[in-house]
Amino acid sequence: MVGWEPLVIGRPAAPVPARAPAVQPYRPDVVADGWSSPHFEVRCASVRGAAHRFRGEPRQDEFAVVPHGSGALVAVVADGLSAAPMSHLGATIACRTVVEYLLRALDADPAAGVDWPDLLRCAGWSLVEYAARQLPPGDGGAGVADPLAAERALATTVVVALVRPGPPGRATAALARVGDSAAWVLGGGEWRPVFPPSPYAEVLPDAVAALPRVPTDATPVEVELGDVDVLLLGTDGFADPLTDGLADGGAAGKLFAEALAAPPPMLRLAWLLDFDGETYDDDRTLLGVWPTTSP
Amino acid sequence: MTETAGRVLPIYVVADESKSMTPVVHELNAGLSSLHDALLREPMAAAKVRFSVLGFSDDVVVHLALADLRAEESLPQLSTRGGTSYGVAFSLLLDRLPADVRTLKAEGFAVHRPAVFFLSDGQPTDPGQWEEPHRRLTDRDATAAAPNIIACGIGEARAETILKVATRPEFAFVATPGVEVGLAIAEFCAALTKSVIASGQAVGGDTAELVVERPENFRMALDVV
Repeated sequence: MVGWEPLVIGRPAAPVPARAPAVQPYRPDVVADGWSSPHFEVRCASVRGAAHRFRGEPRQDEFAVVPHGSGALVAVVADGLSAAPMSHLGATIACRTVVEYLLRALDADPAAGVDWPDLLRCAGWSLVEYAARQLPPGDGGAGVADPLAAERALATTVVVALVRPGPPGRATAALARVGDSAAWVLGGGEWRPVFPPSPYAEVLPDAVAALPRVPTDATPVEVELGDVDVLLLGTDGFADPLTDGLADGGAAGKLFAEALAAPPPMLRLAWLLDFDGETYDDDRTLLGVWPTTSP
Repeated sequence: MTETAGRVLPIYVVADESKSMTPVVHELNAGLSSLHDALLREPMAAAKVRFSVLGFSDDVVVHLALADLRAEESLPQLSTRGGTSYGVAFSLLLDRLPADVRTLKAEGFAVHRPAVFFLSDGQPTDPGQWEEPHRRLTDRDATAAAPNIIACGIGEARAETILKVATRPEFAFVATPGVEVGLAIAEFCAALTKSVIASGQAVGGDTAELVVERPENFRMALDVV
């Protein structure tokens, strides 16, 4: 019988209190979610990192995963940048805009392709309009669109997947992203990154692209999911310990590969994601889509 | 099973120990001491930092090397002597940074790009000689572990010199003439503490364009979140 204490991966961190987030509207520490459709099982969780808990800052990660009547689903994960003080709102707005855009596109023609650069530009622009309407004048508000001010206040990464069902147990997914939020196809215990890993470098990168910027190359990546595969979207709070560990066959990769071989109970994913690892104090979000074998 | 040790940020405080710093060196020592206190109050931030303190004059002295500040009773005291040779400081960093990154990686850490906090109260006494080691140190093709340098000038240090030392214009700070030097040092140490503790990601990126016009298909999902 396992208790509720967080699992330790690597060295444990010094225990710190989780302080209430000093923001309005209220933002919960942990979100655990999931659902089933005729074609998919979905699980997702977002947990606040130790650094934000200790400082009484909100969880800056966000996700949304929404089914469409055609059988397709839209999944999105966003990570507000620490350097932008209201980026938790940026992450939420970007997720909502992406969902609204793709549902509208699917309504118009479920089989049509998506204009991915336009989708990302709209997600970026949603931050600019939000800042103009909602933020105080000094933070980019006062009704005037100011993309640089929106970036300073709300900058967020985003990774988006549009998943369409195939024959039972199979699916195709198209994904695009801005920044370092990541995606994998996990199957048979093997983690296959959807986006090419950054080339080996002596030191970790010290900057990240984020909305309202959009990469000059926004080409989507298409992947096929088989009946042993799960499509995963995650923020760097999960991706960093995973990739650092993969270099030496680490525990995070093995733990999650085993736990995600089949859709876990919703609360179990949130509990797993809240593992304890020194220096890994960022928010963590992970969203999984399993094509179901029984129609 | 081998396991990753985590991610660390090597930080180097490179402080001017020339004779002219004598009236203010205690302010600098006090600032570093409060940085230490601040980090001890945030153990998970301290866990991510490896801290070095270098003092330069005509030569350079390593007061502290790759220290985990959670294990240090107190920080070393800086003192003063001789001239202001920027070159000896950058030459030492050029040797030391790649070796330090290798050391940390051998311990199982993934390593963030090092950060150098450079503070001087005077113009370099080795003009024409410090520029080359500085150029090699900051050239990411020549030095894979090339640091971000945050430079702070007080007293006689000129803005154009400090701008050359800093790796980005926004990383250069020059005390306003007339501002008490001790106050400028306190501000420098406060900025150092904030950046050490925040360790936030930089906004933006060179390969991405800012969206500056409303896309035709744009529709606001909701007015209020």
